[in-house]
Amino acid sequence: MSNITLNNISKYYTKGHPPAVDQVSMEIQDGAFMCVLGPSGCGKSTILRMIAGLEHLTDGEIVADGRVLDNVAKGLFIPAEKRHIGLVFQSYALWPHMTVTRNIEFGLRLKGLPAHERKKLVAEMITMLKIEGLEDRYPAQLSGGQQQRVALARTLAMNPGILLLDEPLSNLDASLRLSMRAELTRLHQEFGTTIVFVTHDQWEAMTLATQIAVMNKGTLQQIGTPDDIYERPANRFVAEFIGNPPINMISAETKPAQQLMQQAGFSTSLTEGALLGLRPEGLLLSKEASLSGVPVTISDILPTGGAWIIELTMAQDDTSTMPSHLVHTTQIPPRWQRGEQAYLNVASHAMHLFDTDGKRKPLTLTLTPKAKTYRTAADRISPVFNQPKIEDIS
Amino acid sequence: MTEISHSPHLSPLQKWRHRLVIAKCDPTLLIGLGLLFVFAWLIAAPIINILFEVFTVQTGDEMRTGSDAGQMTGYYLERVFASRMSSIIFWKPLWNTLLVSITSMLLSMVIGSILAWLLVRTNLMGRRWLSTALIIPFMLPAWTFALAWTTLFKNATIGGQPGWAEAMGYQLPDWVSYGAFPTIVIMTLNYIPFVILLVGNALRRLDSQLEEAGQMLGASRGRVALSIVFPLMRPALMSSALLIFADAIGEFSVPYVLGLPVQFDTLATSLYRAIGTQQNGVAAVFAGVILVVGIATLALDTWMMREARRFAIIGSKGAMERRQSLGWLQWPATLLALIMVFIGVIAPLGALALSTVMHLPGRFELSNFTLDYWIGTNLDTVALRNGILLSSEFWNAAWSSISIVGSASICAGILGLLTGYIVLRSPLKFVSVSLRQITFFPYLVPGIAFAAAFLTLFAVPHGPIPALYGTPIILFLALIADQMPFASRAGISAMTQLGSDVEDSARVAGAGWLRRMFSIILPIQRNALVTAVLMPFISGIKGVSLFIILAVPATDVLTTFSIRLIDFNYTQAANAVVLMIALIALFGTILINRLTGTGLAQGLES
Repeated sequence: MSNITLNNISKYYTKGHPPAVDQVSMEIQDGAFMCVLGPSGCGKSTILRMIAGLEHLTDGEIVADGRVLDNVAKGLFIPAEKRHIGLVFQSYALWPHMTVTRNIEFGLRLKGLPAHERKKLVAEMITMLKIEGLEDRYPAQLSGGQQQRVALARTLAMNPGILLLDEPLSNLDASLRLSMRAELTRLHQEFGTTIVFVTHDQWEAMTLATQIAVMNKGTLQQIGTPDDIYERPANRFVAEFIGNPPINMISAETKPAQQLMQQAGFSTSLTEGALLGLRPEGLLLSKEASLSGVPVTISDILPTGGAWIIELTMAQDDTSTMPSHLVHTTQIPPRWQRGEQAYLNVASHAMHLFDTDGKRKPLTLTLTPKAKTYRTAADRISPVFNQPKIEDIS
Repeated sequence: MTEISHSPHLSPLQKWRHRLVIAKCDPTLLIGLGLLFVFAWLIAAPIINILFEVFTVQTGDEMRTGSDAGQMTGYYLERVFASRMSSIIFWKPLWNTLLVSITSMLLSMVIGSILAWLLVRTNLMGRRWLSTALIIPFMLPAWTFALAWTTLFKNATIGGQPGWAEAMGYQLPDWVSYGAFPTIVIMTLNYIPFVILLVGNALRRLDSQLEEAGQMLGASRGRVALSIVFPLMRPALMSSALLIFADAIGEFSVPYVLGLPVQFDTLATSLYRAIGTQQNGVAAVFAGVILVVGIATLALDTWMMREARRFAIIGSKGAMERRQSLGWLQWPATLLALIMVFIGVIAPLGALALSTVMHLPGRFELSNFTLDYWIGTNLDTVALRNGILLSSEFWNAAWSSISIVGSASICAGILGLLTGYIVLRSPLKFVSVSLRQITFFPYLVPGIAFAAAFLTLFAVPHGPIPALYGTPIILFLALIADQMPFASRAGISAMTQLGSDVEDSARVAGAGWLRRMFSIILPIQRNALVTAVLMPFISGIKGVSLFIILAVPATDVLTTFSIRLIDFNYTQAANAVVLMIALIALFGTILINRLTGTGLAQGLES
C-alpha cells in the first residue's frame, strides 16, 4: 500500500551513448496495477531496477510514500536491501542451494522473525500460492510455473508495500500464462499491493494492468488505461506498437485516404506528410460500391484459426508512388476469393491521424449534409464486429 | 548524441556526492581496489623490480662496473649479450632452450594431434580407457620422467648408482643419457597429453556435418582434411603450439636433471646458476629474456585467438558425433596408442617404482629386492639412515609442503573467487579489467623468472616489510602470486555462470554484502572454491621452479628435498619421494574431476 513518484529520472550507462532512460516522470498511485510496456531495450527494466535500488539514477528523484529512495541533486540513496520493495525476477532467481521452504524463509530470517512465526508465514504462503508438497524440493526439481510461484511466495512473504515484477508471464507456456494471469489479478485484489511490472508483450500488459506506461528509446510515450492506449494512441509509435496485427499506416494525402476520412465524417484539411492509421479490425469490406467505399483487391486470405487475416491492395494513386497494402482481420468466415474486387470503408473509431512529427492529431467531424450521410452509412456497418448478422455486407 | 553534459543542472560536486553515497552502501569497489593493491604488490612490483635490476649495479659488483651499488649501468646487458663470455653464458643456453622448446613442441604436436584424432574421431579400440591413460603424464611433475630416464639410461659419466642399461651391460653414449636428446624426449612426452586435451576438444566441437557437406559436394577424403578440417583446426593447433612453447622456454626441472652432467644449459638453468653464484645482475638479465619471450609468445596467442574467433563459433549446435571406421588401420593404431601409454606412463612410473625396492638397479634377483628405502632402519649410508617413510626429514618436508602450499592455495582460492566476484560486479570498469589482467599476468611469466623476480624484491627489506628470504612467508606469497592465473580463472568462470540475479534477489530480500557472501555466493560456489584451491595446490606441490630458488634448507619441501637427494645420489630415496609427489598430484586431479564433473580440458581452456 504505497505510492511511487518518479521525478524526471534519467539513466546513462555509458557516457556519450544515448540514455537508457531519459527524463521519465510518472506517478504510481497506491494500489495501482501499473505496467511499463515497450520493445526490448527501451529502458523499462532499468526503471524497475532503479525503483528496486539495484541501479542508481544519473539524474532525477524517486520517492515512495514520502521517503526519498534516490535523489542525485541532494545526494541521497537507499540501497536495495533497505528499501523493503519486493521484486520477482524474470529468471525467478531462486537460490539453487536452498529448498522451497528455505527460499521463502530467507528474508524472514533476515527480518529476525522467531521460528514459529516464520513457520506460520511460510505455510500461509505455500497454501496461498498452491505449492503444497513442494516444501523440501530444490529449485532445480521444480517446473517453470512452480518456480515462479515460489519466487512470488518468497517476495509476498515479506509483505512488501510495492511489488515489482519483471516480465511475469513471458517464461510460461500458454495454459500457465492464463492461470498465472488470474492468480496475479487475484493477489492484487486480495492484498491491495501496489504492483508495477514491465513487459514487452502487449497481451500481458493489456490483460493485467489497470494503467500502462508505454516507453520507447528511454522516453515515456504515453500513460493511460489499456483502453486509452489502444483507442487514443498519443503518437505514431504507440499506435504501431500496440495491436496485432499492427495498425495500417497510409499517407493521409492520398485520394483513397481522403475518401476514407470523408466518408467516416471527418474533415480532410491536412498538413503535409500526415499519416492515417487504420486498425485492421475496423476495416469493412463490401461488394457494393453504393457506400462510396475505396476500391481494393483481395490479395491474400490467411486463416489463423477462428479468425482470418485478409490482405488488401489499394489501387495505385497518382499522388503516391507506392501501392498501399492493407491488413484486415475478421472473425467472420470470409466469402472472398483471392483477386476479387471489393470496396473498403473504415469505422470512425478505428481511424487515427498522425502529424509529420508523429503526434496524434485529433480528427474533426464535419457537419456537412453529405458527410452526415457518409457517417450514417459508416455507422450502419460498424456494429458488424459485435453482431455478425449483416451478412449481405461482406 | 552531441550532448556534452547529461544533466546540465547538476554540478560535478553533486554527482560525486551521489556516487560516494552509493559506493558507501556497497563494499564491492573498496574490496576491488584492495585486491588491486595486493596484486600490484605481489605480481607487478617484483616484475618491474627485476627489470630495474638489469640496469642497476648490484652489491659486490662495484669493482667490476666501476661505480657504486645502486647506480645505473649497462654492464650486465653487455656481459650477457656482447662480451667475450656471451657465447658461453648466453647464446649457447639460448640456442639450447630454443632447440629443446621448438623440437619438443613440434614432436608433441604431431604425435598428440594424431592421438587426439584417433581418440575423438575414430572407432579406435578401448578409446575410453586410452583417453584416460594417455592423459596421466599431464597430472605428474615433468621431472618424474626425467628421473625415470636417469634411472634407466644413466651411464658411467657420473658416479653413484648405475642406470639399468649400464647394469645390464650396455654402455650408452653421453648423448643418449644426458643433454638435448633426453630433454626433448621427456618434454615431448610431457606435452603430448596437453595437445590431446586441447586439440581433442577442438575436434570434438568440429561439426562432422561440415565434413559431410564437403563430401556431398564431391570432395575426396584428403581434400576434406586439407580444405575443411585443417583450416578449422588451425586456431586450436596454433594455440596449443604457442602455449607449449611458452611453457617450454621456462622449463627448469627437466634440463636441470638431465643436462647438468654434460653442462647442457638452458636459459632457466643458467638463471638458477647465476643466482646460486650471487650474480644477481646477470640473473636479472636471464629472467628478463625468459620473461620477454614468454610474454611475446602468449601475446601472439591472445592476438591469434581473437583473429580466430571470427570463424570459430559457427555450427556448434547441430554438432554430430560420427566416428570414422579405421578399417585395417585399427590394429596399428591401437598398437601406437598402447606404445604411447607404455612409454609415457608404464615404463617411467614402473622404473621409478621398481628402483625404490631394489638395492642395485637392473638386477632382477629376489635377493636384490628390498623395502629398505621405504621403511628400512639403520642403513649403511652417510645421511638418511632410515627409509623415507621412517625418516623425519621426509615427514618434515612433506609437512612443510602441505602446510605452505596448502595455506597458499587456500588463500589463492579465496582471492581467486573474490577476484571473479569483483571482475563481474565492479561498478568501475577499469577495476575489473585491470584485476582480470594482473591476475593472469604470472601465467605469462615462467616460474623460474618469477621466482627470481620475487627474490630480488623480497630478499631485502622494503619499508615496513622485513627481508623475507629464508622464511616460509616468501614461499607462501610467491605461491599465491604464481597460482593466481588458475585461481582467478576458476573464480571468474564460476561467477560468470552464476549471473547477478541470484545475488540481486537476496539484496531485495534485505541481505547486506557479508550476508550475501556467506549465505548465497559461497554456498553456491562451494565446488568452484574447492577447485580454485585444489588446482593451485596440485600445481604447487609438483612445482620446482619457485622452491628451488626461494626455499632454503630450513623451509625444505618435498620437491627441494628430492632434488637434494638427487644431487647427493640417493637415487632410490629420491625416486620414492618423487613417487609420493606424483601420487598426491594424481589423487588431487582425480578429486577435481570428480568435484567439477568436467574434464581437465575445459579447465585448461578457460
